[in-house]
Amino acid sequence: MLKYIVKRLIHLIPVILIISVVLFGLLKLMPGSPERFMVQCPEGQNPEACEAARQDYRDRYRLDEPLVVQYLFWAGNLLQGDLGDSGYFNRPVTEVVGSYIVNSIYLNVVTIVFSFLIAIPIGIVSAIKRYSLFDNFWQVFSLLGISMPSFFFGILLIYLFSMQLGWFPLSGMTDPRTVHPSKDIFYWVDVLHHMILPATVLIIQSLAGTIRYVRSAMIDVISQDYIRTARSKGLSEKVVIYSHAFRNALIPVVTLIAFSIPALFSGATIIETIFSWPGIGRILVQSLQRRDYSLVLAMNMFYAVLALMSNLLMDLGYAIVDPRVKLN
Amino acid sequence: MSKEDRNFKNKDLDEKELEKNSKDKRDELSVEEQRELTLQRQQELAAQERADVVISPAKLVWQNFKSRKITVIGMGLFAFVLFFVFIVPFFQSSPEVNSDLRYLAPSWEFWMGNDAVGRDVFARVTIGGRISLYVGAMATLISTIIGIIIGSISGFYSGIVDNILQRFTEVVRSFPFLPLIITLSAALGTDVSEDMRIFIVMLILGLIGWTGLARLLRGQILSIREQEYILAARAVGIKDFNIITKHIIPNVVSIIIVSATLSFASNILVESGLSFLGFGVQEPGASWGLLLRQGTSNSSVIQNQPWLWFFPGLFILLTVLSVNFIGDGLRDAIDPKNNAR
Repeated sequence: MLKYIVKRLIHLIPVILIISVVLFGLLKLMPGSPERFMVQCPEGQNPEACEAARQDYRDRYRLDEPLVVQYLFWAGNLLQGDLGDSGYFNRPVTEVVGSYIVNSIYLNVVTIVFSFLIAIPIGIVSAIKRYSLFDNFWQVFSLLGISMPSFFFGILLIYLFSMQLGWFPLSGMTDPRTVHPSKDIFYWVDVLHHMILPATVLIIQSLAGTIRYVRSAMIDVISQDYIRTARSKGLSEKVVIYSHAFRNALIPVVTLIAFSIPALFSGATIIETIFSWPGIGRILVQSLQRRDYSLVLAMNMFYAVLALMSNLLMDLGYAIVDPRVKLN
Repeated sequence: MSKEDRNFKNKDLDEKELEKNSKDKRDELSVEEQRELTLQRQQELAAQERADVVISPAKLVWQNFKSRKITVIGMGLFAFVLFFVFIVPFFQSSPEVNSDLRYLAPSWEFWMGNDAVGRDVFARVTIGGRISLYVGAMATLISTIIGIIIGSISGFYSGIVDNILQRFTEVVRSFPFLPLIITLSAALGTDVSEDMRIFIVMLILGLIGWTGLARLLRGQILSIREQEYILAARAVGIKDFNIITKHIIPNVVSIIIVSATLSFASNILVESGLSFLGFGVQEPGASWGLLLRQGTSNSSVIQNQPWLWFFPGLFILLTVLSVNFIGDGLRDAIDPKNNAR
């Protein structure tokens, strides 16, 4: 097992290397020179001092040297945990990401917990009562969920529930009129109140895929020979389904959970933007509009590593819960 | 009850009825007439049998496909969207800026109201739909072609070629999809022309979206490659290229069609998301995502002019939903496991 993990991690090194080169090259394609965005010169400021500050910036990131040197410099710092400074926030990138990622995690934890809690029973019952009214309803529901553009859905909810009915706040994470000196119970109630709409969109979208996944996993198991054997032994349908089929259908479901762990940290670009949820998805969009290069680069690297990690976790999840899968 | 079952039952009924009829009549008929009747009956039965037994795979898929209510609804919806997007614009004038008509609510004259500069939203939605569908279709075409090439080469030649292509697929697959597209689109800047921009969005979507199909095809081709007829084709000395294109690809066409349909739906969604965030199609062009962006630029517009965002959003939903219905129906129709039911 350990050997397999080490081997997979070694395989990841060239992949990460290539991704980092491509992302770095892409960012270099961005129009405009970075120091103009990173070092702002307000009107009335001494132009020479401003030029000097910009030259300082160029020197600091080796922007006057060839691209290869720039890349090596950036990659070297990256390996030491230094991702550079965000021009807009004037703070190290790691600090900025760290302070916003927490908010994305809140939203994602709620989404993942609820979507699995709802999807697993529905998926299993759909598989058992295949082609029944119940199954057909959820099949259409999940197709609707997959086809619904998240931004349209989000705006519909905002229009209906916060503008027309006034039940939920429009956007943000806490009420701007109330001050929360500490993270006490009132703070969390406020956050939950703001979270309901964005979480609803995310949960319904993730439900759609998860229900189909659980259903097909369960159908696969039900059609296996050992289920027929269990039935022909005269076991009651309840025992067959819940102790023979269900436990085996959990195998792919557990791996799906393993797969979604890294997604906890990824944030939701569109939903966070619509609801002004201060997570890292929204920061990515804003940084792009502000041309905050080092932040964009760092976040793209972060997303790539997350994707690679979830692949690895999914494979490992399979190997752990399913004894038939052999790692090599 | 499937179509075949029904046919079978009908046949049983027909036979019984025929038998009864002939028994009744047999006493009254002459020998020749009896013989004629038996012959006729035999012919009828034979014809029925032919109809029941010889069904080509394509016909079987088609029968499965159209017997499902959901796919019929999907096809109807998609036909409606196509009509709306490609036929309707012929019968209307192009949307023009008119400051007298700013923010007019939907009426008999302007079914979907007017936007911030007085343009007819109905006309904008039809035009925007054309770009959305076009970008989705072209991106799907690009990604499907790349997917077929990489998937079939990777599956057909195992070993080092496969290994390199596998790593390459993994790299592309690990790119953060939406963040990367947003970054790319921002990197290419806003100073390129409108057509160029649409083309670039299309290209990016196509260049990234092929990995799923490539992996799927590789797996299928790995098993097809081991079958005797491929060995025979090799033994006869047919070129690899011809083996792949003439003997392997036709066997995986169904997978390709299903995958292309579903990725068409998701490409429309991604394009509209991109335009919604402001990184896709831009003014004076129109796409459904861009119209939604303009209709939600501030909360007052969302609240007071809901027609600006509702109709474009509804059309994205209808289009993607109809394509997903069709794709889902196709997948079920093609899956041999479903023929048994």
